[in-house]
Amino acid sequence: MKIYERFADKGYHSSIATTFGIDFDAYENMVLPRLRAAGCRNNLVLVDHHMLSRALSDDLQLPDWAGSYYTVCGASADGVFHPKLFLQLGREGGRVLVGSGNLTAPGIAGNLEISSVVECSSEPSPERTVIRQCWDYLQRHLDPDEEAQGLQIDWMLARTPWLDNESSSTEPVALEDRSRLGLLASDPARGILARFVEQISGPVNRLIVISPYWDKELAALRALSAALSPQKIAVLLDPKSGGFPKHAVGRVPNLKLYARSGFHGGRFIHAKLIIAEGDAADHVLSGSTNCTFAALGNTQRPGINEEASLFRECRPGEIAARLGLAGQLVDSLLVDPDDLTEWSVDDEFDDDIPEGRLPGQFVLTADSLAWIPSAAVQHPENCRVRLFDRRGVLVTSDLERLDASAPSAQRFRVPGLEVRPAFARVIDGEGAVSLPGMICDRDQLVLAIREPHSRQSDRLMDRLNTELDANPLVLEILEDLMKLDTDDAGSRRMKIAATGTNEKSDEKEATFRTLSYEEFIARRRPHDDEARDRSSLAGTHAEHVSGFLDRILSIETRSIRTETPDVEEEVGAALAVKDEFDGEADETQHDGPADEEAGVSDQDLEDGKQLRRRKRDRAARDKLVKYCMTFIENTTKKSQEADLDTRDFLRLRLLLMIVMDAATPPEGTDSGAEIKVPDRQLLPVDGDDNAWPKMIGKLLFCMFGGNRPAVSRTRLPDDHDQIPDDLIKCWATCYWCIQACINAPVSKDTRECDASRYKRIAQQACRLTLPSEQELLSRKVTVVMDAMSARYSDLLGLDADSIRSGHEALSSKLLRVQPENE
Amino acid sequence: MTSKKAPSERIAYPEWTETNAKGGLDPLGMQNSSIRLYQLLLPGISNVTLRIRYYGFYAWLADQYSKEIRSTDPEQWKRFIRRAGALYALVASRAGTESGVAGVTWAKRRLAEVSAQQIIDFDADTRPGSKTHYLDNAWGNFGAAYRGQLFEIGILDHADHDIPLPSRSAGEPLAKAFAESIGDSVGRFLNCVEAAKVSLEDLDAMACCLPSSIDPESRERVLYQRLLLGTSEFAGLGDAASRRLTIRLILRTTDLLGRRPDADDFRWALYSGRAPNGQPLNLQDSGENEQRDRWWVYQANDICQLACSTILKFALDTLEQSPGGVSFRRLVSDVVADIRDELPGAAKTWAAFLDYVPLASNSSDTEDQSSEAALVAATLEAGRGNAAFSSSAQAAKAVTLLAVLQKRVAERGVDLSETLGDLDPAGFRSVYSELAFLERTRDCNLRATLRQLVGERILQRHLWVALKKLRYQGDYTFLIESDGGQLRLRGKDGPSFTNPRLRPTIGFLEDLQMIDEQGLARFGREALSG
Repeated sequence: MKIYERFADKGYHSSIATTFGIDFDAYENMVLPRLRAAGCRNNLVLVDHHMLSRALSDDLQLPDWAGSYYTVCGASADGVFHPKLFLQLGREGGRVLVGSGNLTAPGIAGNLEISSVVECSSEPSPERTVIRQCWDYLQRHLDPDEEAQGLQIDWMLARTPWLDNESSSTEPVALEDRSRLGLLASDPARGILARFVEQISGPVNRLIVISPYWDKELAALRALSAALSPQKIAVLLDPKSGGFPKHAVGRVPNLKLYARSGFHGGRFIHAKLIIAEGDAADHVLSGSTNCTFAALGNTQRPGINEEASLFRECRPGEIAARLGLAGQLVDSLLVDPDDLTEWSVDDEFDDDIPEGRLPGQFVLTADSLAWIPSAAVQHPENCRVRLFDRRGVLVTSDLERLDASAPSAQRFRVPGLEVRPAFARVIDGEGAVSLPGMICDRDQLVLAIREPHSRQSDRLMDRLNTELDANPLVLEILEDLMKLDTDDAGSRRMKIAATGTNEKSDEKEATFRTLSYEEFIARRRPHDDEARDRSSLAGTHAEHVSGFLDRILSIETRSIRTETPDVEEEVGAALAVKDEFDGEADETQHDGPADEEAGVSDQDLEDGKQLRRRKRDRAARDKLVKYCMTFIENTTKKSQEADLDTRDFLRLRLLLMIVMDAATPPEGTDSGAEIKVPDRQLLPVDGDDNAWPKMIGKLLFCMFGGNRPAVSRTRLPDDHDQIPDDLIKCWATCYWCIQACINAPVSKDTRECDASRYKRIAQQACRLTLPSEQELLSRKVTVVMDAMSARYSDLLGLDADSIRSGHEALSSKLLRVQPENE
Repeated sequence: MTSKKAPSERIAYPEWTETNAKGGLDPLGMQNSSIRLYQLLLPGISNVTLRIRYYGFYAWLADQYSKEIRSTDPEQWKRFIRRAGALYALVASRAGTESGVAGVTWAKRRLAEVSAQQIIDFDADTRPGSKTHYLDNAWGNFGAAYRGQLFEIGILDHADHDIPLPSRSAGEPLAKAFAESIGDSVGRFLNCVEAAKVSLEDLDAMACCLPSSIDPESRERVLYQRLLLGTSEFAGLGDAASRRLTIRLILRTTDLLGRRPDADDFRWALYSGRAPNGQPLNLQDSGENEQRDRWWVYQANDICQLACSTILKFALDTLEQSPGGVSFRRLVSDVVADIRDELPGAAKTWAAFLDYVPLASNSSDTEDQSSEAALVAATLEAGRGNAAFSSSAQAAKAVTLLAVLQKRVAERGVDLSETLGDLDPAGFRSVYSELAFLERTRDCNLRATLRQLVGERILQRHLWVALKKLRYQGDYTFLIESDGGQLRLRGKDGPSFTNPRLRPTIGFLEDLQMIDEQGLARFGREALSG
């Protein structure tokens, strides 16, 4: 099996890899591109904490794409974190590689490693149980409350509902042929050796052991020997490796050593394998467990490492034959222990511990940096933070410390970012500099992990791209896209198994993942107009509709250009990676169809099709009205029973624009040749219950009116410490629409009747959304309002200046009134 | 989910992981810049195109195929070309003294199997993939060695179909000349190819076709010479001008030395501008002078990669002493310490070290221990194989060689960026990139510079190159493995020059009787004076 070729297998959206040592170059060259090309884009790596420190201690070995295209987390154990699992999950099934190789070039392609594959579909099966066992084990080392991990785990589980349907178990399961299979991973209660021995019934004729590392006195091998009493113990080894303590050979009865001779010559034997051969069955343990006490423990005590191996029961002699060992363990290859190279290492460690310590976790969201200091950092409040790009070049040390939301969490504003930082170093009060900590670029990660579009979403977006204005069809597309998102995210999030002490567990349960609207607003700080666009819809299908509305308003979204992996590679490689990432880049391009495709209604009318057209218009208007009323009804109901989320505001923004696009110009309006006229002008300005100002008023009243306005029941994700841009755009649309209602060219009677109501709604809308003049008049708001004016004012006989000045006056008034209220 | 195995076959049976190990593949990604240079200096010739007469032979075969067989089925062409190649090997093997003919090992075996009266049936041996095949390559010697160069030099043309055609300007005249030279053997050869059978008598009769049988007075010989020099009807074919200039430089070197030069003679003569005895290489022609400058850069580049490979070799040998593995920092530290001990202690910076390094008046004089030639000879003793073991003294000489190169480039006033500046700095390391590094660290502490040189420019570079080869080519070429924080030795490689096509080119000139053991031969003198 060429492990690296297996990474290119399709059918999975997420991977979680565990490893003792990591070579970022190897992962980013051999694993990540293959995974992503195969559609597996949500990738997470767990590394032994000590080895992660080591990897990050060398500036030349720093990862290029950790934090932006995948995440890496350190994991700890009493000994070392040593499992080598590669779990992949998809909508229709999962797979795990349980192996002995690290995520290094030798581990992936050079060493002689051993690996077992378990695959399952989404249907119940013994294999699915084993996949679940692997997931259960991994959960013990994942921290869903850590922001990036939580994001990735939520995303993964939402797309893997079958995993939740599988019950947890820790015992091996019976396969169809009645042989057994199961994950034997570290367990504080019982060691792996003890559990392996328990699976074996009947005498063991021969115990075959392959391991690159051994206890100094062969403690684990002696424990196996004592527990199983094999007639013979055969160890296959490389006599020159210096890994076997030849001085201890005499302590193990019936032990025979066999030289590898030419067996897979030239490759370092890093495989870990134990085969207990019996008359009725063979029992195999293969994976990360060296034949050491630290890994296996003994029958009384567990080991101190975190390990994961696969137990497999099979027919007698089958495994040795499959692995080509039968011809290798022969007398002619027996080795005299005296001929072995002197034992020179005791484990996969050396004493070359890097200077400095990992500083903790960093998450960058737009221009906000959150830092959760590691335990090694003393007095984080006195530390300075410097940010570096992925090549180690200083990006900025000009961070504005914000009030910490908790003693253990530091928050910063990072103004004027031109380059996205990839690493942070912390300098403590005494000037000691930490190792670089990887920064999770949340915005980029959200984009990077999303799945390739399904056919259905592609079709929907194709339809969306052909639309020129906001209309009910777009709403239908939005609903369908949101349904896809709901299918993704609506599945119940699986409960993450608690780890560690109860105290720790309680502490975690107290950490909320979403905040109430008020809480959210309370955490807000003055909005930064120059910051990168931040969207609560990023990575969702619904985001495309938000982009569509921006497009028809000719609003440009602003983002810092990020580099993509491998741009400096040789041509063939660069082309391959470009393919991978092109899709994401193209999504910022919104070239609309040619102008001439718009506006065919005049021609239709001239062709004498007025009647049919009116009939069609009436049906369309009825449909539009129905959509609006349904929204009002659903929103009112939802706000009484649950919370509104950002998708509700996207609906509102879309409906407001649908209404505006359906608004009929007042008679005598000269729309001018340059104004693009939507082809569905269905709603008059006055004289009808379905006049567009009334419809706008109803929509906005539903959200902002009454004693308990629906908007107050908004819950937002705590991913952002500022109001997400998609929300600001919605609110700016609301501000503009209500001012448009106030300034609409209606009759005097209508104006007298409705004006005060519209003004109250306007005040409420402003108060409940961005209640400061600075924010109400921020650039992000005015850009949208100006764009709305550009699209609708002349067409509908509205005065853009009046709309703007009306909003400015209201904002000033609110500012004056607010202190009195307080 | 994508496995093609039956369910029972894929359930968690442990398997060994597989690899695709390869060696000898430019472990520092530096030889590629040398190769890029010499490809421009000797176009139309490769290191496996060993005899000039194959150019005429294949032109003739393509011409015959186009006239007699005319099938656009590539399998037909493949069978024809493989049979012809095998027959040529049988002829050469029967003659007994011919070198540079592919397939003679097979041919000798076949000849040993038959008695004088027997007919050799080589049909099965020329079927691709057959157990008794005469060559591995599906297209025989044509595909393995000559095809690309025949197109590049302009003898073959592509057609709408997949069968190559002899070009009108070069292929057809060469085919005609070859046919004229072998006379009656034309029909005999083609009949044997058609039947895939040949008698010993036929083989003896066809000896006139062999590479060493070019009649010095024949039109065929004249055409080969014109082809190489890109003169007369062959002017303007491919990049003939560069090849012509290089061949003229070979002839001038031959004249200077008064004997047949080998590749090293030529390289050092052009690098130093003189013979080892100090006699200058006088070049009057500006074109030849410019071409010499290009060869100078090539040689400097190759010396640079050789020096770096020597240091790598010493690091590998050092690593070999720790079978249990050693940390990266420790390895770098040990290697640097050993090298530093061999360098002048008073030199605290690289700049100071440069002051210590003398520059020989004749860089090709191996008697002068400070010359590049002497330093190269010393570094080459580091060896390449797993059994060879290099010393810190050899590694120190390699470091000295880099310093000498830096001074030589400055003395000569060469702008390396003109030739090497366009190469992608990630994919190609060169004398330009490495001297730029040394220039940047000129005033740094010498030990720190050595640490960077050994750690970043050599060891990390190798790991990077090996990883890219694994990613893009699927080849596992790591000489060092880094796992679990430990470096382990995987294999060894050592310093070697690249082969800039000089050996076959000099062989061609011998085939054409332009040079011989005594130096310039008649046709060579005529060409130089022409």
